Amino acid sequence: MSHSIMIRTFADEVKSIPGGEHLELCYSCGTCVSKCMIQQKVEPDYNPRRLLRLAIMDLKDEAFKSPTTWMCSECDLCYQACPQEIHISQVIAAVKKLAVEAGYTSPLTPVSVDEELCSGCGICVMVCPYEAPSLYEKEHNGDLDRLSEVDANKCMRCGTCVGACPLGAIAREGVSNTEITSQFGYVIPHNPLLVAFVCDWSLREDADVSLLESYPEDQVKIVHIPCTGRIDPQHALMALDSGINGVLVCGCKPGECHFKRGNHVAKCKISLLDAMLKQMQLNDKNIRLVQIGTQERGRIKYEVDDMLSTLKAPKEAIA
Amino acid sequence: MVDAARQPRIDVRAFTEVEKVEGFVGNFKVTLREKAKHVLADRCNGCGDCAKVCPIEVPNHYELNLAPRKAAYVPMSQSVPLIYSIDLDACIHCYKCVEACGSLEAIDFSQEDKIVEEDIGAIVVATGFSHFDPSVMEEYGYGRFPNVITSMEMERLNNSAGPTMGNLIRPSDRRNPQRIAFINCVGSRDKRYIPSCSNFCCMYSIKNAVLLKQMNPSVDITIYYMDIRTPSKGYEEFYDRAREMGIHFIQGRPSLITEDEATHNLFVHSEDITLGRVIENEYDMVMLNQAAIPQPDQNHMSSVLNVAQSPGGWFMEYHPKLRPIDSPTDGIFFAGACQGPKDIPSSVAQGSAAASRASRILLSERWEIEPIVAVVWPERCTATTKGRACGLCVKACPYGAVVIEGDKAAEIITAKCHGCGGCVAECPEDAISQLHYTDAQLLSQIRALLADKPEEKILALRCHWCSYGGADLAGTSHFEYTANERGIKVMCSARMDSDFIYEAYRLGAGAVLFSGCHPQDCHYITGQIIGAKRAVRLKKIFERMEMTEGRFRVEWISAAEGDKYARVLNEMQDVLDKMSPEQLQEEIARLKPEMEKRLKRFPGVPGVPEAMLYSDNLVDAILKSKEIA
Amino acid sequence: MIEQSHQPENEELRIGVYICHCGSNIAGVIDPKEVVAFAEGLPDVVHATDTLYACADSGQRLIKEDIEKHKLNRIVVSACSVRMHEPTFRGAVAEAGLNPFLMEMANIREQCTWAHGHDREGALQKSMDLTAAAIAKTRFMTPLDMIDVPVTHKALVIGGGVAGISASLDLAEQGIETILVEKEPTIGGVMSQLNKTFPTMDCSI
Repeated sequence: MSHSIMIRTFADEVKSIPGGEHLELCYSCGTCVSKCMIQQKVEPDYNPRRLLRLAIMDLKDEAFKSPTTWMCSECDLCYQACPQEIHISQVIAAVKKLAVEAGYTSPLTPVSVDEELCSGCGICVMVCPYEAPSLYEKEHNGDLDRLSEVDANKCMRCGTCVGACPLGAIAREGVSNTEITSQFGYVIPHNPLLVAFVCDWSLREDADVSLLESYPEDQVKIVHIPCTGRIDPQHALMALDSGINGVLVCGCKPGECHFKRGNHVAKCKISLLDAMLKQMQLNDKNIRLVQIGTQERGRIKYEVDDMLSTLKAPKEAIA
Repeated sequence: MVDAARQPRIDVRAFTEVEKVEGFVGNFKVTLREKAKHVLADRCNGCGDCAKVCPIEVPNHYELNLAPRKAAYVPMSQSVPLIYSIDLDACIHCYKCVEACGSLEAIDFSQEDKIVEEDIGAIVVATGFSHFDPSVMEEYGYGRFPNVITSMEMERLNNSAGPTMGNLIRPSDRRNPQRIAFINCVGSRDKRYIPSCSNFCCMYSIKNAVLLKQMNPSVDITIYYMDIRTPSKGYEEFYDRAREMGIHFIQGRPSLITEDEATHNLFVHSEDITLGRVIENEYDMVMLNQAAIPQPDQNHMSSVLNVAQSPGGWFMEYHPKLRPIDSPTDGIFFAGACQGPKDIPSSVAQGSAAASRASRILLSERWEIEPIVAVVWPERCTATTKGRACGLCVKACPYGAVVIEGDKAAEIITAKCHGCGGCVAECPEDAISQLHYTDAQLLSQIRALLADKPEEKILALRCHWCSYGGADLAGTSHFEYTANERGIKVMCSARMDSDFIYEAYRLGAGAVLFSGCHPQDCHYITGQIIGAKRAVRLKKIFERMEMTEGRFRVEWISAAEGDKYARVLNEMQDVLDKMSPEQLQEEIARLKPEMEKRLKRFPGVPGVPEAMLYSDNLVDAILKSKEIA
Repeated sequence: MIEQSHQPENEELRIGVYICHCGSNIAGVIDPKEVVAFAEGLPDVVHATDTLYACADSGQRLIKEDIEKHKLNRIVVSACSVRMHEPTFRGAVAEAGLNPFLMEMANIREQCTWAHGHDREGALQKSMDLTAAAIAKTRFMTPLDMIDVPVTHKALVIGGGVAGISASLDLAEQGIETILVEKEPTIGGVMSQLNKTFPTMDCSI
């Protein structure tokens, strides 16, 4: 006898893709919607519960057009919280796969690669959590050049590749190298005590964001980044070099990164930077990484105050 | 409560546990352990002078540890019976209590646990339920955030007999909370913890909300829920009333609670499903409405009483629809939440129902039990043939119902025999038979089931109490499995004689399933163990014969595991499907002489030759009749 | 020692076979008439028929009347699980004067049509085989008498919560001595810890 499922409806199609099996277990409790931060921070129409419902009800076109299909970054916070143990990101991925096959494309603007600068080294391919970049060969002045190209349907715009590219060949709108450095250092006449690179996802609650923004400009300058994976050690060094006393990098707790593993990349970068500063006999306390968990409301204030008080203390010599 | 104490025919034995239950309907022997209170029940007048002078304070478990009690204590002032106990784990032996008790001389430090045996006709099990511990759900912060409390803590904080005399305060600063959130389904309807619905919590949280609102109408109360279930009379109306009183209901399961460290106020994050919008609200206090779970000692009680458990651990009734009060054991009945979460009206109703079921027996002079018992052919017993009984039957009996006196043949004490059939299958001389499950009957059944294309068939031997029930549940749940299964029922896996299995393979059966209950669920105490030993032995024999793996399968399937029954059968079908017909036929033919060798003594069993003769005829008739039909 | 025969007597067997439709629960998957036709061809079967609901009054009456009319001495009912209706049919044959242990059931509902809706032919074959097996068993069945045991007129209630108290009171009020065992120092259970209780909103004690 045969145990295979007969595919008759869109819901069947979703269920037949690995990860989509448990689609119909959803009883619409809304846990996923409030555990996820996309609706609160970016897209009011983002709603995983409703996408699952669209799939269950065979509303295929609506599902393909839904921002939820395209904006889920598979952080899986919802999966851990789901009382029905539905692997929601995988269900969404299954819908997305069918949408791409049906010719729909992502509404997100992907990162862009400058072909003139790209050397085809492949570091972006290694760091990307989504397998969006790949290398291809292109004829250029009679030679075959290896270049990186980015799959627009896979790129989630975390900027980890931007921070990793040794040649600065990749750009993401809003957080290109110049856009970041122009916010501090050489450009602003009065340097603040502290520059904070803040991952937009690490501060769940609006109260914490406004709290951070309430520091005076001469004390704390905030640079918003999409993920701590985007940080570039050079930016930190430039900040220190331009007379800023400290650099704080604020990201998500391990396991809670909005872009799967950008926070892990950041942690590696910061510990390398620490080691480098130590070798140069500079004070590595002036660069800090804090990783904030979803329940750690108010922690950011404690961290910033603590750092400010360290920085305000009689300075040790910074060469 | 008080009525029970006042009723002269009720003998209340508090602080007492059931250690052992033996016997059968109408004739149970129950061993009770009366735990030492170190206070003489007949002398204590409940004055409480001992507690007044006791210098030791420990958390009172009855008050959810929200209040202290003394080492000399009663759990609450209205305790029934009102007899104090000395908690020796806490006591420092200052003996002030002895002094305070004075001439009553009720305190006795030398008292020890007392073991009491009682003759009982019928038993009502009403062991109740316990509460899920929400501290394992990190997202709600119970145990870390002081103002997140459980529903039972709320009961005590809001109770005029409780530690705060009914003045609801929040633990962090003892202020009266103004904004309170209740979260339903904490741990329940959650596949990570308790997949089932806890039945009463919807009404329970509405009740608490209404009480708080009645006490103080300015309190702002929000109930977070997934579904509100109001399935009984008057419940929906009560829910209406709660909404009219201004209690807020938000459909949406909170995913997270965060706390402001300075104020200890709480922020509940959820989706408002009706709006489709994520909301974050601030509260002074959050109550988690915990799931109901089986008692921590439910597994232990299940083996003491020898009754099975449903998925989730609750006691399992004989039939979910038609015999919801009866346990599978005659004379043992369930009442209340031990059988599944229940509210107070249903528990009271079940208590009455159980009393009525039990009194059918208790008010009868005599009771009839099924005659499915073992009987001995004394002339076949080794005591007769060789002068000495081998005693295997005695070893196989879980009830001590088989006795061998001197050089006489084994004898069955019918009143003690529960009819598992273990001695029947174990007897090497085939000197014991089981009424209604004789070798002749079972052999004819097997031959009939394997009359037509035996190589396609899967013969499934199932015990009456568990695996047969599991097969029923597979059907009731419409879990589809292969129609090549041919089931046969015996009372216990202990009865599944090796000869039946050899015979099945001799006839050319495709596969054989040997299936009984899980060891702890056996209806006959240790019957399954006897069956399991035999199954393992058979498995080894077939391995040595190089039988294809999976053609003989041993599985323990409870009456609650319909899905497992279907899965096992489908997997066995897959094993057969993977073999080519030639390969299977070749194997059947190769093993046939082996089986015949092992069956040499089988025709010696009384009734078997007749059954063989009869079934040869029957098989012909079956094949012919199928052609015509 | 029990005085019951476990060897069938050499009487002439007259088996009656009843195939239940159970509405559409069985008849929706297989045709009971085909099983009837099959059963008619088996040895000693003197009467076989199908019936819409064997457990209903009409079905039971049919069996009772047939026992008399056809002088049946063994009954096979192919219907639902023994956990459902074995007591029903044992009762029915007993009322017609037949020993209840001369009735055997074949489970063609829970363990056949409900589980094999996808395979009608397989379900039909299985129904026939299960019916044949039940017929085969009846050939070697013997009349058995229930075992009669004395009863101790004392109840034990384990657990002093609301259900246990309710059961104890009901038992005691019927005149039955009842021991109510509670492992905690006080009876009352969870209910006694509650504040006022739904739906009357009065005190729980």
